[in-house]
Amino acid sequence: MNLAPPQHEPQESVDLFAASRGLWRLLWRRQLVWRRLLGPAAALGGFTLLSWLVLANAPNDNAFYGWVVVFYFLMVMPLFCLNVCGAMIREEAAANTLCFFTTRPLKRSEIFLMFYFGHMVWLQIVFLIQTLLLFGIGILVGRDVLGFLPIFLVCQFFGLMSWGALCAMLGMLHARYVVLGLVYGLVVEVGIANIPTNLKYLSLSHHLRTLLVQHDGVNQVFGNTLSAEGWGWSLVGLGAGTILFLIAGAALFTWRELINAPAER
Amino acid sequence: MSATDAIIHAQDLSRWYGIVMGLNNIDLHIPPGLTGLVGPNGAGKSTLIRIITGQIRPSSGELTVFNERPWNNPRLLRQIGYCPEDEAMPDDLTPLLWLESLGLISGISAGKVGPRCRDLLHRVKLAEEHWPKTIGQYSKGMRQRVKLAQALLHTPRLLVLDEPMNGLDPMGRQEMQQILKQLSDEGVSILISSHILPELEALCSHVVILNWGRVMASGSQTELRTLLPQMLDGKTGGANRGPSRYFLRSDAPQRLVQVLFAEGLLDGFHMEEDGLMAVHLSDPQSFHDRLPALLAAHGIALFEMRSQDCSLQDIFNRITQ
Repeated sequence: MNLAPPQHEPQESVDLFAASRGLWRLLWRRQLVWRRLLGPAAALGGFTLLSWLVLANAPNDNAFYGWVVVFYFLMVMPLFCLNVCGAMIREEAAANTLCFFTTRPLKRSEIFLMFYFGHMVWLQIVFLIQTLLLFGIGILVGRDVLGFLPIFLVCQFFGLMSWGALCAMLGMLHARYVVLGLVYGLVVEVGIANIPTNLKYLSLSHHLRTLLVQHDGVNQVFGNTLSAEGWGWSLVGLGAGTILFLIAGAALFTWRELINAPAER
Repeated sequence: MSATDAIIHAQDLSRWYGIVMGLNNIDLHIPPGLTGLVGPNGAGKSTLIRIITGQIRPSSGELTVFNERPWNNPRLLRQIGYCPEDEAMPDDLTPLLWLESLGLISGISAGKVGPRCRDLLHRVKLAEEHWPKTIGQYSKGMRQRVKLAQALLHTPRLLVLDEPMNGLDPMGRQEMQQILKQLSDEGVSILISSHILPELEALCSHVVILNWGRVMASGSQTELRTLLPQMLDGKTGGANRGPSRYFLRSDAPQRLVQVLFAEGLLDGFHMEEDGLMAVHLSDPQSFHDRLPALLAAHGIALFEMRSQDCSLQDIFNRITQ
């Protein structure tokens, strides 16, 4: 048995990339536990089945594009992000395991960002699997959709980043982040996004649709008004939204204690 | 202990959870070494520990550790190791995987983190045969050891332990005491909250007693024992004059009892073996003042005199009652 004093000398500052690797190992192992896999598996399976039922009887490719844009990008994706990113820190607080992170030599904003990027890698993997299933169904039912795949993947990447950042911020804002997210979604992403004023640029869904209509097939379904705006500004909009939501979320986590102490309860 | 020697300073420190009081305007100086934090449930121990470890902020007043505020302060948190009371740990992971991940998060390089974690698991005396099991399969005592190991990961100068003896069998407690003493000998300051007072008594040089969010007493065990009568005087308006139950060993125990009864100093007594008797005094202050003269006047030799109620438990009971 080694009872000698520890030889390890702590570093002056924590390498955030290495620290993220540590957090990623914890998240990865935890997500791959059977009972935790059931939720995403059920969601993937349910969406795939639903997609097959809708697309199998669709008369043309337009049904596929409409389904993908409205249901996949503007409903499934934000709700999934709300479930994963909204809960990412509150779940630790509820389980009384947040103290194992907040007592490490890291700023709270760094912890928040590490959690966000850790969960974002997980989300990107889950949605890549979903993409394979979705396009697999599209091909299976005889639709010519492969040309849509590149722009779909770009939109999915930026969509997840921005929806995830928004939901992570909402999770920091209030314990009832799901209700908050649904209200925000209805007011901003459904309501304001469809009102023809400059306020629509505040919604992520507007920028996502603008990116998606750069594909001709989607453009036929949703019209030319969106495509005329150009994809550059939409990418900037999504990127700026992501950064702003992350800054707000990190600031909230730096300000809020989020402990699950009996006295606080 | 002077305030300048202290590693933890609290001044006018209060913490409220809505309308619930956690800490109420406390002043506190905790010196280096082993310090016990004692108090009944709801006394404010965990609140104080959470402020020290930077998990929560004071509502008012100030607390510093190594002259720095803990909240959101990585430079200070690098010097503090924290072992929470809560049982919550990731049950699906092996201790090595969990510790290595936390080690990476703490800034230990990938090359060093594995040997460091194995070293720590040895150090907390978790048998190697249990390492491949997941934490969920562990007993309470084994979980305590893993929690202690994670607190030691980044070689802290101050180790804060919230009820670390919980769930340990007597042998486990002894081993834990050994580990803590060894860490203390290596220069690690330890703040340990526990309700198992006899073990704190054996372990800690300094004790802080909390009740109702206030510091009821703070000092070395010797200081507390010495100051107890004055503290209780302040609390009871002078009615309580310190320990009233003693063990006395003399060459003439029966005569000593007769003398003490005759002088009105004794409420009762019980003969033990080998000339030892347990006495209950009616007037402790008068007993202390007059005993030497009485012994001399009656030619009684007193070999031993010790209080029955000066254990840490007794001090705690008397201060918090």
